[in-house]
Amino acid sequence: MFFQQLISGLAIGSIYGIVALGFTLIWNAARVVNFAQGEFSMVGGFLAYTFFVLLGIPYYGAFLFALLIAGAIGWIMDFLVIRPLRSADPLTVVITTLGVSIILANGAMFIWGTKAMAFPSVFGSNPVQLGKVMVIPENLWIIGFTVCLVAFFYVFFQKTKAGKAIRSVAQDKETASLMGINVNLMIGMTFAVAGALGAAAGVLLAPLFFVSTDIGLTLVLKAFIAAVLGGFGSLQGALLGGIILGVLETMGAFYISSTYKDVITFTVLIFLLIFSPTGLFKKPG
Amino acid sequence: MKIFRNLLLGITGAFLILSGFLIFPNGVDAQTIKIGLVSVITGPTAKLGEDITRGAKLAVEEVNKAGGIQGKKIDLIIEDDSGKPDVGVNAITKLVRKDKVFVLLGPDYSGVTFPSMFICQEASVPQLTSSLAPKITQQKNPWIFRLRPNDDTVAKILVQYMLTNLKLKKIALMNVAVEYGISGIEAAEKYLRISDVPAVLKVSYNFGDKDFTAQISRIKESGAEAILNWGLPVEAALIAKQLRQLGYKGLYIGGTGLDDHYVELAQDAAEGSYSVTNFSSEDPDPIKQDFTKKYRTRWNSLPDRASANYYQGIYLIKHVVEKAGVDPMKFRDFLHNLKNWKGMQGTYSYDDNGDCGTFQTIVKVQKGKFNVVYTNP
Amino acid sequence: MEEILKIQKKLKIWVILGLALGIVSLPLFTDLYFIRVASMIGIFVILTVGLNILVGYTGLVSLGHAAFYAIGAYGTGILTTSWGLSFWIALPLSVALATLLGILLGIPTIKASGIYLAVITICFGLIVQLLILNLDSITNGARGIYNVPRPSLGGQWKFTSEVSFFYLVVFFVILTILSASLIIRSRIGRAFMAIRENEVAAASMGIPTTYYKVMAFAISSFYAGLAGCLYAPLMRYINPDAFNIGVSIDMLIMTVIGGLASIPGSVLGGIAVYVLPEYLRFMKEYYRIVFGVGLIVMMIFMREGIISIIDRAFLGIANRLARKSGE
Repeated sequence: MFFQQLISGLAIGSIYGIVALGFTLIWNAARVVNFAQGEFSMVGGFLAYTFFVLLGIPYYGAFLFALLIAGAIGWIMDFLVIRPLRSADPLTVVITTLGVSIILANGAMFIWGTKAMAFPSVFGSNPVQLGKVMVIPENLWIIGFTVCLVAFFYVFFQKTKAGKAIRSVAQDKETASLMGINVNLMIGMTFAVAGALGAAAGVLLAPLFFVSTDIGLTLVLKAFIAAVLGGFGSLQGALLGGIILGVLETMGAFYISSTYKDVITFTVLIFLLIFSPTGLFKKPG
Repeated sequence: MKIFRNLLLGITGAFLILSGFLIFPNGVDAQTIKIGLVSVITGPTAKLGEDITRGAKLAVEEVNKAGGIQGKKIDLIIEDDSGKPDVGVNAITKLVRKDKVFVLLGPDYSGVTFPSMFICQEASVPQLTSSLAPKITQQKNPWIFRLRPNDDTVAKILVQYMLTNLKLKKIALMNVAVEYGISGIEAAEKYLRISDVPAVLKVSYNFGDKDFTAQISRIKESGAEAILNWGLPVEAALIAKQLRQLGYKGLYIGGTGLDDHYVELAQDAAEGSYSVTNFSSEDPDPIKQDFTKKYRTRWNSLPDRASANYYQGIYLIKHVVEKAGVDPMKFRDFLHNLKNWKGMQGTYSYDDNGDCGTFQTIVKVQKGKFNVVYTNP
Repeated sequence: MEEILKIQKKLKIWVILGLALGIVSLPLFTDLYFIRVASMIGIFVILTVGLNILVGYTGLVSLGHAAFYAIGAYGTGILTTSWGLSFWIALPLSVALATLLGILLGIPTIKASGIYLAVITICFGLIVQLLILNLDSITNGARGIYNVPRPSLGGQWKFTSEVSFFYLVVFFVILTILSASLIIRSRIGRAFMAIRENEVAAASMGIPTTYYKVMAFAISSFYAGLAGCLYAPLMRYINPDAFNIGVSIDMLIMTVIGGLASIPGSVLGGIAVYVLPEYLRFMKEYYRIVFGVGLIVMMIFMREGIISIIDRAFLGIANRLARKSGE
């Protein structure tokens, strides 16, 4: 049971981590606190539902389509709404991303309705015997996907030209543009990637907690918290912060009463933020 | 002169702005009866609102096609309470104070009805609600009436079935921490105690919770052979799934909230679970089947307990108005004295509190559908 | 130019008087439902003005302010029901508690700022809501508190009617606007704005920045608590869900839309964001989308808030009036 719970915690933590990753990418590239990040996940879930359940497209295809469309939405969001506000003060931009999240959330409600819907578990949501322990296959898929994602991003950011360009924009916009990098294009791409990441999290979440319109705010809050936990601005930190959050939540519920678990989490977080504001890990240079 | 002009400018400006707020008084037509309906139109549990409005609309269409109520057409005005008390209070205030409805149908959530009952009471508007919390009819409010038996009656019937037919001895109780869940499980607890089979454990969870590992582990530890969950569809479905995942082998039984939406969401995990209800579309009773067929033809989907309540509500209103007229006081008094009225769902007998009888059905999920296993008249 | 500004100011005074007249006579030509909405608007205006002092004038972001609103509401709710105290005793006690907690939230500003402070305020708001939800022996948890009594005057007459309660709310709104204006025009207000412009420079000029930042939190939570104290008897029922982070976000949106660092802006912001859903009721599901779009459009084209349009309109009118009187 312990091992099954641990895997469960790692799975949900991976989902938080993926959302936090998208969130941090945007912050790094554009210094924007993207309150709409959670809505990408919500939309991703509904898109996958449409493709997979309603249209009968095979799972991986549906997954991919959801990512592509969410990526497009991310790009459009930057193009229409964030780009005009490149030099505006942070509060204005926050309100703007809130506006986007309202549009996405209510647009989704308009298209798909508000009621919660079941999403079939492709890998199986009941525990199976794996050697000496019981695990839920769906969770293994989530963890496996995240590992691949991390590997992909490592290669992307360290080895490819586009990835390095995005990193340089994140580090120093002026210099990057002086070097001939199209800053707007890179930021737009970052938003697209963050949108896709958000959607991926949503699709992974769907078989666990159903597809519903109210997950956006909770997810972006968790992403926020995870990102800060791991050191705001650090990509590895965001992912790790999410995983830690997920594991703590799941194991905590198992061993401590669930009533005050969240209160404890948030109080600890406040103290962390006051005394170690850069989070648990140092931001990489 | 300038001062006078400025003053005029200011006042005109103010009136122009405020005139947008002018609400022209709504006359109550000689040709229509306004019936207000408040329900969960938006939110994750919006299937409930969908079922409710479809049931009500079907009845309104039927009644209006047949000439209306004493020649007056029904004007159904629908507002959303989102399942939240504050939104509900505003929605009901609008229906009662602005739209000036003759009678109000709803809300469904006890947590919305209880804090907002006073609005209809103060405005002398009869209110017919499908809410289940027993205390709603214990407030000495002469204007509140039920569309189905309250949870005290429901719990009694369900506990009786669990002890007598299912022969259960070790029962764990679960409930969602909203008015409906808290009152319902209290009633169940009471009847278990009276029958000398006290619950082995009682745990609760919050509306919107997604993970129930803590509660389920405690239940497993208690050795319970059955869980009675007074919950709502989304959480109840998640619990059903997680019970399987955590290796629970006992029975899963629920209050009225474990409805068609619950079965839709839980899919395989719902198999073998029980629920108590005021109506089931699988009920072989011919009157219920007739309703089910009409509903299915109109809406291309099956009616559920909520649809039945509000379909019934419109016909109940029709009956009372035909017998007692459109004076609210007479409407109310007549309804309090209505006995043995055969409605589609069952036999209605109202008492001074507004409670309406004891009809109830117990259903079991078999092959993805609810099957009736017990009927209480 | 000076002449034009003087005319603009006189115009504003007349319009305000006109509006005040209109508001006071509102019950004459609207129904009880609208009066109720108007009372809610008044409560939101108090919330927005208070938050503006923190966000607009001092430049600090709080996304957890619903917590103080909740404390005011629950304080009044509990004290007037379980403890049977009079509203007029419950009010100062609840507001004091809210202010104290505001000071508590302000303390982290010693070290944390910017996005870290924002996250702290989010956590704070969530903690307060969770505590209210879980300490059900005191707060009745998710069931909420019922039958919160309306205030009474001299133990005899009660503010039971919607109209009378509306005037009570108006009274407190006027108090809020006047007191907030006084604070802003005082040395405290100047300190706030100095901190907003450049905290380091302000500190080097000898302004105790932490002291004033904590004060900004305290003042804004004072008003939020006051608003909560009015909310509980208005609704006669409170439950934890009414104080979630969505409410904190709405408060921030209202403050920004109305116009930062502008008290009349906050009044307008509070009105606009609450009145709009009522006006747009006919849009049903679409109105929130329209609202979201409107929000974005405003941030791109009109980020100084509604008040900036109004100001410009008045300036335009004043200009024309000045020219007419033969400048």
